[in-house]
Amino acid sequence: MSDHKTIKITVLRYRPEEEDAPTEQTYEVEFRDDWVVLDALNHIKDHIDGTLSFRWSCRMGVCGSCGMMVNGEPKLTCAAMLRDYYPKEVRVEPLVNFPIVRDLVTDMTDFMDKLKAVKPWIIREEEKPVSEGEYRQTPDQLKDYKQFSQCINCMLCYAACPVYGLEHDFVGPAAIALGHRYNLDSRDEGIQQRQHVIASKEGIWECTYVGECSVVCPKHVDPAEAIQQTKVATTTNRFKSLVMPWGNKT
Amino acid sequence: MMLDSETTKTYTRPISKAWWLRDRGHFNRRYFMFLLRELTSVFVALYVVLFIYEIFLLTKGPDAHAAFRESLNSGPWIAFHIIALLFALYHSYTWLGLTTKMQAAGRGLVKIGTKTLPPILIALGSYGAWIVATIIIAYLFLTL
Amino acid sequence: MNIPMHDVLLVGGGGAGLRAAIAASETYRGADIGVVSKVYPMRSHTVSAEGGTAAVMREDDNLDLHAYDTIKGSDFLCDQDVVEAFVKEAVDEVIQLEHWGCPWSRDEDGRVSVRAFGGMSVKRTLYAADKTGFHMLHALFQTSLKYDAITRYDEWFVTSLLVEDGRVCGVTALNIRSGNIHAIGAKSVIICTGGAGKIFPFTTNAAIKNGDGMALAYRIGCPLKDLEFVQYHPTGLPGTGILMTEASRGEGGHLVNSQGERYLSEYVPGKMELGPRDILSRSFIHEERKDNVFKGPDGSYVHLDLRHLGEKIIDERLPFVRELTRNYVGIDPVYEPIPVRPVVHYCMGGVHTDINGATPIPGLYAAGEAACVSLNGANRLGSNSLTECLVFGARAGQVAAQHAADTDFADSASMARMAQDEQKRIETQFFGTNGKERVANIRDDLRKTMEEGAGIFRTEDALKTTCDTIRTLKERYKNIGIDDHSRVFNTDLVNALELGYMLDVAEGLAHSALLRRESRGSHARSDYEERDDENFLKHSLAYQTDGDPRIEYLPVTLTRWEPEERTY
Ligand SMILES: Cc1cc2nc3c(=O)[nH]c(=O)nc-3n(C[C@H](O)[C@H](O)[C@H](O)COP(=O)(O)OP(=O)(O)OC[C@H]3O[C@@H](n4cnc5c(N)ncnc54)[C@H](O)[C@@H]3O)c2cc1C
Ligand code: SF4
Ligand code: FES
Repeated sequence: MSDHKTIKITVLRYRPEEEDAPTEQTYEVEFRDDWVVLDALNHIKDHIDGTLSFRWSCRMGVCGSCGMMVNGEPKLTCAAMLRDYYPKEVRVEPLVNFPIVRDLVTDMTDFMDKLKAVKPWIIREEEKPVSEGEYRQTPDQLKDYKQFSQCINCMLCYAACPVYGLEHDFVGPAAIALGHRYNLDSRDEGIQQRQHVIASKEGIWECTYVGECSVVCPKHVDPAEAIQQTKVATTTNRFKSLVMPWGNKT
Repeated sequence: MMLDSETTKTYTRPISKAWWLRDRGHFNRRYFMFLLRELTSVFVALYVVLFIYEIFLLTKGPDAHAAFRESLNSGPWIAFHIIALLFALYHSYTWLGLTTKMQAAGRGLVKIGTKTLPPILIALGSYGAWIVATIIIAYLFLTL
Repeated sequence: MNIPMHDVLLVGGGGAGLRAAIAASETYRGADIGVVSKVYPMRSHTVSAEGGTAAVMREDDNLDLHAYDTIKGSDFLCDQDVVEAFVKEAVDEVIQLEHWGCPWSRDEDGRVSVRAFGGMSVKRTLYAADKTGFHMLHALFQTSLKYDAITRYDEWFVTSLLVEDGRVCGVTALNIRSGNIHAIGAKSVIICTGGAGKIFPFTTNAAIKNGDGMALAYRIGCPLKDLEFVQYHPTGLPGTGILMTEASRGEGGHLVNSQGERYLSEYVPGKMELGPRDILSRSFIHEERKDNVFKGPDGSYVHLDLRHLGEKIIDERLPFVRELTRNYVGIDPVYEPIPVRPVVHYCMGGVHTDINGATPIPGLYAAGEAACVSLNGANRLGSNSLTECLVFGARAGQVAAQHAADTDFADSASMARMAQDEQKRIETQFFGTNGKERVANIRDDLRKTMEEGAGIFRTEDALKTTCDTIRTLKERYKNIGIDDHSRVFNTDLVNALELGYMLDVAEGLAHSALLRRESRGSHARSDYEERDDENFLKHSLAYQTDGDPRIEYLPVTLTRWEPEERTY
């Protein structure tokens, strides 16, 4: 891999102490064939311009830190190969729909609040003591929620969602998917406690089904599906409780 | 609980009114198709208005109705109907396609025993039902 | 000035830190807990652990067997009382995590599944496909959200431990977002900052694993124990060091050299691919010397062959391996073998603690990879460390909370002063000067010398050179210059501070390795090839001084198992 290819990388810069609006800066980076976009950013930081700020950690697509817009699409920069863009230029911006803190770093406190609001933990009417051993859960029951437990909180889906962009109260794809994950878990009994957040106007009913969240999700969580399932389930339950008020027990 | 850290100045990018057309300099086909789907409702609504007007004319006697039918034979009206039909088809197609989303995660809403019905069957079922319903309605219309 | 105060303060929000935080808040009502983490807790590197977590769950297994495997794996350098407590409490801890929602993989009857792992004599490793650490961390983090007693300081970077009258009374931390340095007061501080793999060039470790907490403790006079023991994982991707989990061998994968042979038959015939990591990594070097390896742009490699497992097993049990190889090397393990080589993976050594996670400094505790409770000795068995985070995280959390209940806060005015001093120190050191040295250059040189002197095989001469180089690097560090002099989210500054930690840990490591003139576990000296129980069945303790570190020794605790020859 001694090929010496050079790629142009344009990065959105925002230094809140110096400027009121973002600017852009272009770097030329000599890269190796197996480099990802994040490697180029690190190369810039280490050897060209130490003032460029961005988040990263695992470089293996699992910590969820390094989501950015790459040529207009939300991507994990540690999983986006440079060679897939070459010889075109690469343009890197912070994830859209979030306020920019600095350069490629966004403010994600809004998501952290929403995550907590959907109560993403096992809720039981009565907790089983540890001494009585594990809850039994069959592979089929595991499969019921497994996909929704794969979320790495990378925020790509929020960046892809025009509804979240226009309406910040929207609980949003990942948080709903995670709430749904617990609702589907055979060990959980907390669906009622989550419902007022998830099945609310700011929850599933805000979603107009663009479906882009599921397209960009690097872990195939398919949050759109979580939302759709909840819509159908909530509607059927309401309908059931209307026609059979005596038999309502979800 | 998260400590309210000393917040700093942030920058929020404005959302362009044409976000569905040009997403930060790139055409996003899926946003566009989504908006198209939203747009279908406009045509469906227009068609319904037209249809109600037609029924209203029926109460005014066969002549008024016939004259109206005649006027619909013009180019623009035919074009309108074709477009409305296409939109209606597109809307129904995508809407029924969504039914698969109830199924995929293993935990389907429609199950036989413990096995989740594969999403493709749900979709095919929905499309099938749609086609059958269309045929029945067409039959009723053409024979009555 | 208003200083936040907590009964117990966690430095680190990974597996160990979060477990400790929950344990501390459950120890007594009203306990007020703080968690400081330089990344959002769910980004901590526990997230990347793949293979699984060990505990005795089945009838064909028992506690003594788990203990014996661990002790033998450690080459008899672990403290056996620690191991006995560990295997016992491990069982409850993994069940507790199951109750907190961890999606463990299951058998048909609904029990959690177990798989085989290197150095374990029976199947006892619980797993959640091959994303065990990810699921454990998110289950812990999401569960921690329900405890209102826990206050988080996300993206705050701890720069020093505050000491008054010989006891730790808090920390100073940089709020990365604002650029301000604050004091945070605490009656007990627990260090859970993870390992230090990033002092080496090729590692499975994330960017955040620079030994921060070890250096923080070292700087206030707390010894670092058994630092010389660094585990190489035999199957990392060349170059990037991305891990191919040991579970891929546990599920039946083969290691094959360039001659097409399963070469391990020569080195660990009894265990083959399930031999312990230190031995497997050394076998690779032997094969390299025999020229039985493939050559690539990132050095030599052998093949990890999973093809015979078939697509179904791979997708069910090793989906992440498939995802990683497809994304990063364009190889589908269903059809092609994966190139792998040994890469730095885990630090057995760390902050010296007793069986409860207490360090010799009052008020200071440690748990997880940053700590050395002496469970892992000279070589950790795969899947013991996630369990270690749980067991000793919980223990440290409880003991630290009890300590807090009988202690008072230190004077906040003096803490505020210390924070101001710290802010000044950092500003002068990094913003005040026009230093010429770049962080990245010193870091690269450090990594190079660590690989050369303190790699898989070590010698007196190479180690001496490494010690000398580290000394000059520390001099160069004094002349460091950073590009970024702004405050908001200054990652240039964070990297520079981290480099300071790395240099301290590297120094302790190299000197401890130099003085251990024997081969034991992961510490292989080409000039002293035998294990020497007479002189070295003891822990090393590295203390920081103004010059080179001072190395002292501590006896190993033996209970029921006498050291024996370690063959597999
Ligand atoms: C790729 C990989 C795979 C692995 N697989 C397995 C496995 O299958 N089984 C197993 O048992 N073990 C495995 N391990 C080992 C195991 O994952 C780790 O030892 C364990 O997760 C360490 O957890 P921790 O809580 O100690 O530290 P980490 O999870 O690394 O967390 C460290 C925390 O400290 C914080 N921190 C660090 N420095 C500072 C600072 N200066 N200021 C503030 N906060 C700070 C970080 O933000 C982070 O929250 C694996 C390791 C790797 C790298
Ligand atoms: S749902 Fe997918 S895209 Fe959204 S945060 Fe989770 S992993 Fe990222
Ligand atoms: S750096 Fe962890 S997901 Fe990219």
